[in-house]
Amino acid sequence: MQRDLVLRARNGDHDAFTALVGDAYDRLHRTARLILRSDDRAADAVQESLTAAWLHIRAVRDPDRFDAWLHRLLVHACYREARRIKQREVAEIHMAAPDSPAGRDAQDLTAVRDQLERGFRRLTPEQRAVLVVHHYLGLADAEAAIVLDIAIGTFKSRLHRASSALRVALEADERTPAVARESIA
Amino acid sequence: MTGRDDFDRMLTGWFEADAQPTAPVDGLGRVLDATRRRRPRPAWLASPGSHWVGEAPTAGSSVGVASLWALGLRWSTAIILLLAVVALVGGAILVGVRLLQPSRLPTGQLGHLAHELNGDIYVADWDGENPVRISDGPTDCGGSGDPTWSPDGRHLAYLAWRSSDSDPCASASVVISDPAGHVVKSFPGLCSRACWSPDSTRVAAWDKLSQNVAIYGIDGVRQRSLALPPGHQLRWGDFYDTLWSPDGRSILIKLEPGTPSYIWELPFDGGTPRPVPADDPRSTLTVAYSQDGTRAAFIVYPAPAARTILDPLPPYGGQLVVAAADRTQRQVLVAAEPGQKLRTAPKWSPRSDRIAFIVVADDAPIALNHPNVLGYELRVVDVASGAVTSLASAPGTGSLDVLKFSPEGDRILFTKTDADVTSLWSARTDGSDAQLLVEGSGSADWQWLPADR
Repeated sequence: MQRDLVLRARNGDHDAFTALVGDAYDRLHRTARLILRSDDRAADAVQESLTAAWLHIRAVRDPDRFDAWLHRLLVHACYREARRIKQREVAEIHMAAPDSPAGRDAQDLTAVRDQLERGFRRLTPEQRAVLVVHHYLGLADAEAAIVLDIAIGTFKSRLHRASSALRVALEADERTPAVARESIA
Repeated sequence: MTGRDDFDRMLTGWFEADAQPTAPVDGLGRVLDATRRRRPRPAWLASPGSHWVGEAPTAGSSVGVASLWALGLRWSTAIILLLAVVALVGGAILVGVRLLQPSRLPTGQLGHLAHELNGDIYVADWDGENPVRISDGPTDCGGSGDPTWSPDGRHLAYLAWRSSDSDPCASASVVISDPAGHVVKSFPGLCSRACWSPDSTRVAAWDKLSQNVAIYGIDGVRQRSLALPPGHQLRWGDFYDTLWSPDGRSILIKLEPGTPSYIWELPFDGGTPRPVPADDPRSTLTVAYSQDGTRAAFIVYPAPAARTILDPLPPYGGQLVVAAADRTQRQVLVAAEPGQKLRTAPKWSPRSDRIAFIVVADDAPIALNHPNVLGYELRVVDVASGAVTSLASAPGTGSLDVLKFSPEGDRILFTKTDADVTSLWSARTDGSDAQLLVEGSGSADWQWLPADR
């Protein structure tokens, strides 16, 4: 079904393209948001990648790999978006009320997520992308390498370095006093 | 956080929880609206090697590497493949087999449009649709313009200059790129249009240091420097586009003031520059040669004695003359009617059967410096029958300029200026189907696709 849509879209059928990207839109936005840590910038990256997808759809040689190609466009758009404006990022601090009915477990979960958020923001866009492609999209190594436009070996080493960098960032975060964490964020 | 599996599970869980469906509800609609009015780019621009939309074009070599990565090749594999290709190509050259075919270019009934807009160069479909910006120079790039396709359509030359210099022409460069915008070479030049040799292998440009005419190969190697005639100097900011002689053996330049001729020929054989006689078609730089170089079309005006010194503009009247390139077989094809004058830029159709030219209607006395122009008209004359067809007009203060026929000769690319805004238009040679291609652009060239492709 998707193969047929890709072939039709490649011949200029905009309705087929609409069906293709309509299915993928939410997933693309979530992926971009994970990499960029911003809804607005994710929306810009998705818009840019989908526009590029239509204009360059004749570059898709294998219709069965349309999804990988589309995600590759998205990753490139995220890289550009991340470098476009070197603005100071403001971390969203989720505060749980001291007497929250959610209890101690919920507070711990929130603390872990905040810690992950701060650690993840310390990574480069390339490191974030490799983690998102592997852990969120769940792509196999070969497919992930295609999406990231790198060799498989490079993907594996980059994944290892990104994981290590995140671990180091999390460990550093644990050693940093709370007041200092807010200023870093 | 102990152990890799725990860490991975925690990270995956966080991604799942953090990836909330926050996509803007109208985001997809905006994309679809924006793309619905456009068409996918042709495959030759969309294939690996073309740049991503919004990204600066990359150099040719890096694009090739990117393509290899896209195929999942390692560096070592790529190097081995590269060596194998080099060996194959070398062997083929030795046995005289022409294996090195140029990169494939689009085929089709119409060529593609290269145009300037707001200081950038774009390559678009023939009708201006799907533009891709290809000049994206350094941060201090002040602008670029005058895109010119090579006669074989394989390369594009344009001017680029920096904004940091008070005199942009002093920092101008001639840039050679392939049709997808990948820069092949660039070299210094002055603010005159790059001039391609008839065989598409060389480019002539003014050299800023010596103020001579320099001949560059498309590999960027300077092959020759042609000196000006003795006693002449290039006046800064007052120079003209060069013209390649149709036989490929000399460059024609215009010097002002000059005697006995404005036009000089700078030969490649090391000979001294020589003035072009007034009865030679080449004595006007706006002479147009047919595609095979055997015929010339140009405008002749009344003798200078009939003009007044108060009128520096082209005089009234004028005749559109067709001749053989060797000056024989002269034939007056069109003569201006009273109150008209012919503009000095006729253009041949690809099959050399028609010529486009501009007529200016003017009822002001000849001695006035600022004639009361009534309007411009774009016309096409059939060389065999002399029948004239009017294609477009610009009454009042507007103006027209004809740029080029389409490769098939069925359309004409022209500029139309109205209220100080110049835009690109095209129309069929019968005057129908006039289309606005690019608003705000006055510099463009249609790609010529040779008949063997």
